[in-house]
Amino acid sequence: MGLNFADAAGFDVNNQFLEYEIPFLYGGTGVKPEVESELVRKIEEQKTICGGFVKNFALPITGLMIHIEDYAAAHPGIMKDCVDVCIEESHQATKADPSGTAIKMSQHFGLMGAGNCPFDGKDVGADFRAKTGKYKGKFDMIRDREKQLAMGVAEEHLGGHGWHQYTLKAHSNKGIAVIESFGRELATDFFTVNNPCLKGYNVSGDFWFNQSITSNNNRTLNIDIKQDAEGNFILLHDINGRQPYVDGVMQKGLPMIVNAIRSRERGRAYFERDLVSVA
Amino acid sequence: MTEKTPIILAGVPGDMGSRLFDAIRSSQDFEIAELNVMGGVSPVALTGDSIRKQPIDDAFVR
Repeated sequence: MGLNFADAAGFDVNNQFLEYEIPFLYGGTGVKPEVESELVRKIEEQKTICGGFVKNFALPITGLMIHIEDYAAAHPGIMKDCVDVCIEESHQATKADPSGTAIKMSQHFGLMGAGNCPFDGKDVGADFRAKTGKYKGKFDMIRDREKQLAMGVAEEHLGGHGWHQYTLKAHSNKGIAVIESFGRELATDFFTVNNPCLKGYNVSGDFWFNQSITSNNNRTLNIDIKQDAEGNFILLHDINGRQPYVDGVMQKGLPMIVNAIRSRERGRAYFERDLVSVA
Repeated sequence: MTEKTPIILAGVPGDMGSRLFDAIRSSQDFEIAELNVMGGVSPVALTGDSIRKQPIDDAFVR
């Protein structure tokens, strides 16, 4: 089987895998959605192999994004006129574009109607890359080394990290109730040792706005929900280095395709939701 | 798993590539069949009934 992590310039390798009928897993980013969709269409049409397309192999983060996507779909507009969101992301200085993860998450908050969000419900399902101009003035893209060090990014990870923080600010009693409902649902249904996405991670917490997920290996991955001094709700997730991605590839990504090969499945494309459901 | 699944590893330079390379090589379930650090699958390696094993260059990060 093939495993391709090339960026958009190397996406064509996947077409070669299809041509030679080699099942593959693709983990690169920056590819235009229509290019990926065209290959998915070919896979489904030719029915010779299966192919996986996963943009984030860090299972807890991918699981969190899916969880919030589903929550937003079930609660469209719930934060409208009562909750604002503030989005901050920090990556290595060489990353010029905004975080795709932050854009995706802002789409979910946008669907919920959060104020100050660069995307709204109408953007859901759209090609968000075509709309990245909308992030300007809405995202705080942190690329400054000194600021990153002050935030707590370790010097060894300045060259490779992805930190995201979403601050939810209520401006009415209704907003407070909406945030609490959102936070309680996360604490109950996501921050739980029974969550398969969190297998191998430490899950702890004593209250709905005090929950934490950490990796065992030198805190390479963390997800926290907490309150700041002003009572705002904070959701943050950070990855330091590449090991969480490698773990996801080895523990779920490759087995997902191997399972498909063994079951002689052809003509199917696999995505993030399939990844987090691999036993 | 009795037989290791051969992996054609393509387009993963740098730290991520090194870590994946090491993880696959030390895995009991997978093995490296071919490396294409710069992307591009060699047709020579892909013809035939199975993927032809290629010599592995230990100097993975180029």
